Amino acid sequence: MIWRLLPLATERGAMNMAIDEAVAEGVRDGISPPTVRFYSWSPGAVSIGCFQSAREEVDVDACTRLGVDVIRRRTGGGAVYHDPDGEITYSVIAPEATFGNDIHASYRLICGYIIDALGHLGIPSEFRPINDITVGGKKISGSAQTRRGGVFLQHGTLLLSFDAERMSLLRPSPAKLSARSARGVEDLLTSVRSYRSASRDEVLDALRKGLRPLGEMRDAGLTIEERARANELALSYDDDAWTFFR
Amino acid sequence: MGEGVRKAERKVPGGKLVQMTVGGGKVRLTGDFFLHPEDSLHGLEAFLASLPSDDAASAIAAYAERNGIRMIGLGPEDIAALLAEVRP
Repeated sequence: MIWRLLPLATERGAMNMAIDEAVAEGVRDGISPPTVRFYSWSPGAVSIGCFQSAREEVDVDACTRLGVDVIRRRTGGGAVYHDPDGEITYSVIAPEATFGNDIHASYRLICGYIIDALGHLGIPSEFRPINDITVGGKKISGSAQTRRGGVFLQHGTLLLSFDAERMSLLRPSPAKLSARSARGVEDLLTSVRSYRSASRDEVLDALRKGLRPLGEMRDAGLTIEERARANELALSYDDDAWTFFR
Repeated sequence: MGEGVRKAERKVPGGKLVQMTVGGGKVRLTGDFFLHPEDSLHGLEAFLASLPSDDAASAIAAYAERNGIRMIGLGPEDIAALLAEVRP
């Protein structure tokens, strides 16, 4: 299978989610190729899982004060702070048949590629089911998957560094913290630069190597149609009725 | 939901956080779990609101099976346990 690779691009949160969805629609309609995408977020943003309560999971007032976007993903999973400089986000979007019906196995497979990427950086990591990658018991990468219209989409983070103060924008449930004997989000996380200095380009290169078993990758951009559809879809991600609907 | 709202949550061992809020005849599920397809949530919540407490886990499993819903990080028994907790 030949994949399109969308090289790292920086967008605001609503647009990042809209691009993932526009590409997934294109794959569904047979007009977009299977795609691997790397991206980052500016301004910083908190994304929440589609089943979470925004006001319970996020200090929304502080986000507003700091100019941090709050958006609701179409995927489940937990709230994430996406720092403009501290994270590379990836997406893998392809016909569902590419990864089969087993959701747990496909998390393990794709997280395995990210683990290999970390290995290229000299960082030994491991898969923590259901959807995390850890180093020394702390999460360095989390991911979320959806399967709609016969299309598989997994997006996930790789932390380059983290800003403990910004992580305090998240309000994890005490039950979640105590399950991991953590006092705050900072006790749960680690990052590439906690282990070694690494430029963003080095990490991107490692991710490319890690994801190579997927197949041949050809660098390309979004099509005009995908960009136009993403602009349209971004409006729904910007809509408070969606972000705060629960 | 306002007066008479009851809430319970559980971190499923090896799974996800699931919160249930009940009030005004409605059931709301929130948390960092996964449901596939995602838009099955509203139907599931409506089903839970009308579900008797007896043997709820089996009924939820049957509903999920009937509607092609896959739950990741939680199971019918977790939802049933939360229902039992929030119902007076």
